[in-house]
Amino acid sequence: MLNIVLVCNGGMSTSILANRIVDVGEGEVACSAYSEQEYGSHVAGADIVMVGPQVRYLIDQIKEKVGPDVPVVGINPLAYGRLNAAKILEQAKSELNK
Amino acid sequence: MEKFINWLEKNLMPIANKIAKQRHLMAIRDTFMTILPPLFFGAIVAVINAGADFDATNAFFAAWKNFATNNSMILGWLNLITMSLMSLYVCIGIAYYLCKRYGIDAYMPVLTSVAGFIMLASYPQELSYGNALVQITYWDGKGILVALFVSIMTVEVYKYMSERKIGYIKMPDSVPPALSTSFGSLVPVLTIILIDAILFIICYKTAGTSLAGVVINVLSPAFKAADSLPVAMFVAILLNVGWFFGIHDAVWSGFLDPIEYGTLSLNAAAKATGAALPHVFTVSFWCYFGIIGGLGNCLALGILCLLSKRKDIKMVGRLGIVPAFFGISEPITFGLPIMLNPILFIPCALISVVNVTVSYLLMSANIIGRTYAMLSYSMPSFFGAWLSTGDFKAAILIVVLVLIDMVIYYPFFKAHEKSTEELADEF
Repeated sequence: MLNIVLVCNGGMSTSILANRIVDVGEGEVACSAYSEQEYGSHVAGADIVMVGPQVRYLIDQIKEKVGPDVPVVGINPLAYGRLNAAKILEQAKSELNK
Repeated sequence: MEKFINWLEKNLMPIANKIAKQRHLMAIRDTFMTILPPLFFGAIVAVINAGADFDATNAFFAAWKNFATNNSMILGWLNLITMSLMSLYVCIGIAYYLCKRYGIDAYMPVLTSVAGFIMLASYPQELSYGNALVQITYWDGKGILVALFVSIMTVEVYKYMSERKIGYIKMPDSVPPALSTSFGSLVPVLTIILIDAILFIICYKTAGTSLAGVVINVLSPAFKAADSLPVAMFVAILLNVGWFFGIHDAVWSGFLDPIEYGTLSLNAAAKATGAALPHVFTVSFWCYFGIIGGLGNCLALGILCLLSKRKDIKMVGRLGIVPAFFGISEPITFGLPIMLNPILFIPCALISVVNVTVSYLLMSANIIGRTYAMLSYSMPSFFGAWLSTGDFKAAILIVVLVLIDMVIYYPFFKAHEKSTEELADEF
């Protein structure tokens, strides 16, 4: 089971995406969206943290908080805007295979 | 153009990054993000109350006018509690969120902040048995700087002293933990209230008013200067350019919200007493007139996308138009994209300036009503502009502005359509 945590400003626009990622993951993927204030208490057990493009300036700060074991990446903006969940899932998987 | 954009990105991102790490600014931002529900209630009351100003042309409006006039005391009080005590709520919020960001228990600092705020933002006019008259007019937007000062000072002193265990009174282990914490915080709390009391005494003895009264006398020119067309234009450019680089406007809230909500609350207080509204640049002005369809003015752009012949752009329009109607511009900003797209940089940066300038001038000249209520960020501009001003002309202005925005976007949009064929299969 792949566990993806999405972070954006209010956790709202990413939550639409989270549902779609779960759908395209066909039961193999868990994904939830959190705001910048609350993600900290939800990263335990995450395989990867993906950051919305509107808060990409937070990536360094999030990396610091999450630690070196879990990769933190910015979501591909175009895929994000077009709600292309399959592509974002692919991005997560290729990041983890690095 | 690309060079300029690279240069801007290199300079703007570190600033956003630094601000996002600044705990006080973030606590201010968190506070204003969560303060909307009571303001929303106040806005509904203000809309009902606005009935008192109607020229009663038919039975419905005559009945409304009658109701509002007969119940003006009740409506005024409900509006005062929800809109005009804003600084008290801001003080509570900042103390709470700052404690949360520091990871310390918020109860004592919040309690002490409230005591400090009441002491420094109001002053007694008559205190006798069964009759206490206290001046609380500074609890609205005028007291916002005192709210920021008291909450931050309280939490900082509290944290400093308790971390170093200054004045920590140690209880034997047999004493229940709750009791020993309250003894532990005794000296810090006493120190903070003593600081508040000294400030109160100085202001009351020398100026006969509260600290908020002194501050507003000194800073009222600054408040007036903050509400001006150049400032509104600057904000319009800064926030939209930031958005272009993927910097959420929440970054700037720590600076902007105290001003925008402060002026709104002053307008609300004036409206409640029937006085002329003093300010133009408020949070509702920015949110409903400045950015129609969210940052990047994505309502106009979304309509252009829907009309496009290219299938993928039409699809972006279909995905983005409903969110844009509710002021959420992420799908179009990243899907078209606007972000980091040199072709759309100029309209993205400048359309809000046009919106802000037109609206500001019309409101300054009192052709369109000014704002005195804030409903919610996701209220569509058409209704938000109408309800927050009580003026239907404001809603018409929004329609006109969207048309202007479409005209400005059009040539850039066409150029974008031509130059980005390769994004066509990104679905």
